[in-house]
Amino acid sequence: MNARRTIVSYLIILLILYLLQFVLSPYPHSLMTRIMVFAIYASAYNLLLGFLGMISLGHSMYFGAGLYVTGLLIINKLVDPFSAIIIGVFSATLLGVATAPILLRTRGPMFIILTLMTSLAFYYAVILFNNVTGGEQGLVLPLERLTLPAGKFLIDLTSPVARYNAALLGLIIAMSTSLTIYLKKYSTLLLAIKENEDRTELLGYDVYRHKLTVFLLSSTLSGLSGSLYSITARYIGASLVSVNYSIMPLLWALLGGQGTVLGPLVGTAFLTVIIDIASSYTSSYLIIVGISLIALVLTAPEGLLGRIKTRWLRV
Amino acid sequence: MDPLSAFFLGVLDGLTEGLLFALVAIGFTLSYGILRIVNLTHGEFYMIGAVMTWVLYEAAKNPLYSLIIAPLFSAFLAVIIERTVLSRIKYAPEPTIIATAGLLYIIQQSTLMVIGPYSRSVPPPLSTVISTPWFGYSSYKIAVALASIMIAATLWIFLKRTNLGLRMRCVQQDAELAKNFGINVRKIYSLGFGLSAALAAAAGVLIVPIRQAHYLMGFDALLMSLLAVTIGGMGSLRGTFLASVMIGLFGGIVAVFTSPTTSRILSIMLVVVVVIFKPHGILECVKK
Repeated sequence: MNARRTIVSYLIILLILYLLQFVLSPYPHSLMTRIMVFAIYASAYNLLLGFLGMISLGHSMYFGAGLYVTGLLIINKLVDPFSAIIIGVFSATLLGVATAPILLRTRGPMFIILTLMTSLAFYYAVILFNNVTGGEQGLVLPLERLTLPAGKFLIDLTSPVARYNAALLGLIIAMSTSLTIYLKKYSTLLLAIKENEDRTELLGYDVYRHKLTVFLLSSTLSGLSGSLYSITARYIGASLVSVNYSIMPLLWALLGGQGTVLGPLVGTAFLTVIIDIASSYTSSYLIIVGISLIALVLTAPEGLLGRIKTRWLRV
Repeated sequence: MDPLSAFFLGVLDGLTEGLLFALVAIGFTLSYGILRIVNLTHGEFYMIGAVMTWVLYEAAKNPLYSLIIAPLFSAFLAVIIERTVLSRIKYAPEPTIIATAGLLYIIQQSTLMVIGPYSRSVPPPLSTVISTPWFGYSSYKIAVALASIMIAATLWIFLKRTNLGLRMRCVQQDAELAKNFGINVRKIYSLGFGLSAALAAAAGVLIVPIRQAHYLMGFDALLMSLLAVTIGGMGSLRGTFLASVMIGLFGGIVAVFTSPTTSRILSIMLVVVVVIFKPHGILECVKK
């Protein structure tokens, strides 16, 4: 029953997201595109946080791998946008394959510290090679490189409609991944690892392999989000791979409720809108991130969606 | 400048930086040892120390006051944080990391509101240049290195020779047992966290004349602490101190021949390699 309810609510949300594009005025339309791109990132992050209880403060490097590879391929006129996305996502997977064996050796606080350090190395590398990456200032993707021949038609990725639907498609991929894991028996095994890693290992499960699988899925989808960000925002810059962008998905996932399928989207939408409003009043709008993190930890550890569920829906 | 004197200059700069950041890192490891928490806000206490030095310099034109006032203020702030936030989430590892990440933003962004996004500089109180046959070296940097050693030594004596230090070490070893022996663990937690923040702030005060005060400077100190505790061993004061000096030296020497950014990347990679072979820090083998 519960599974069916999850699927139905998932489909309803997707339908609403699809229909929203026909009613939104230009500014909310582009805001919604940004929210969906970030929600992919939040969903990716939530795979690790929700299913395995692992907090990573280094996901910005996977997001960044997708962002920079896709962005730079397009800027330097090497491939068409579609291949650029594929290569971008694949490079995030590769970065995951390269880093996971080291990162997954540790757990708890050490895992958090190590992920934070590796992503900082990535950030500094972006700054170091600023003649290629554009460094802090960043680079803008030229408009004329963003058209995509699809059979007889020409998909113009600069049009708001195409960007909206590209983001929506990415979100469907990300949320379906979480939903599939959520509905499968596999999630029970992941829950066992989350609850007690040593005991699960003792029961004969290859804990490392399952952690690696989820970790790679998470880094790949983070890369997808980064890739789509570079296309939809037409901008790549070092600030997007800073520590802020590792803490953001943590906050989005926590806000929405970790381990839920729709939570990351809810959390992302909520926070992005609030930050968007706040940034027009003050330059220190990031203080909202701080206040919500503290408020969450102190009052609603199960997240917004979790809170609503337990208070009103009693699911 | 010939390569050899450049090398020595790098050694001196690295040593100064290593000793200075050792104060920050010791503070970080102290709060881990006593409260068992990873405090991501730690770098912000360092930033507060630096920013307050600038504020006090603008107000009183004497940077020496800040060496007392800034650490006290940071300690006060830390105790408030410990009482109102950390004790309420019972120092649980993951919530603490989330909460301290939140506090990081609150402190950082409040500072941005107060001083704006500018780099603020304070002239060094000592401006003599000590000349060697190969190059001249700022006497202030030497004073900073000596001051760092003195502060670290004072802390060491405090922990080893005083009654309060003994209680802190008791809590560090076993908080439950310490409670049963009548030690006020709550008080020790607050004191330990305050002390840890004061150390970071002291380093912040000392560094302003070398580097400028900026609201984002805390990340650097946090990164240095993380690097130092990772290879020094979480909670080990001696290991953290040694590791910090080593990282400083390494960074200083590498920076002479490449760039500060490259040296940071290489330091991080070095630490990651150490983690692969010695997951519990370099001193782990010495202890056994």
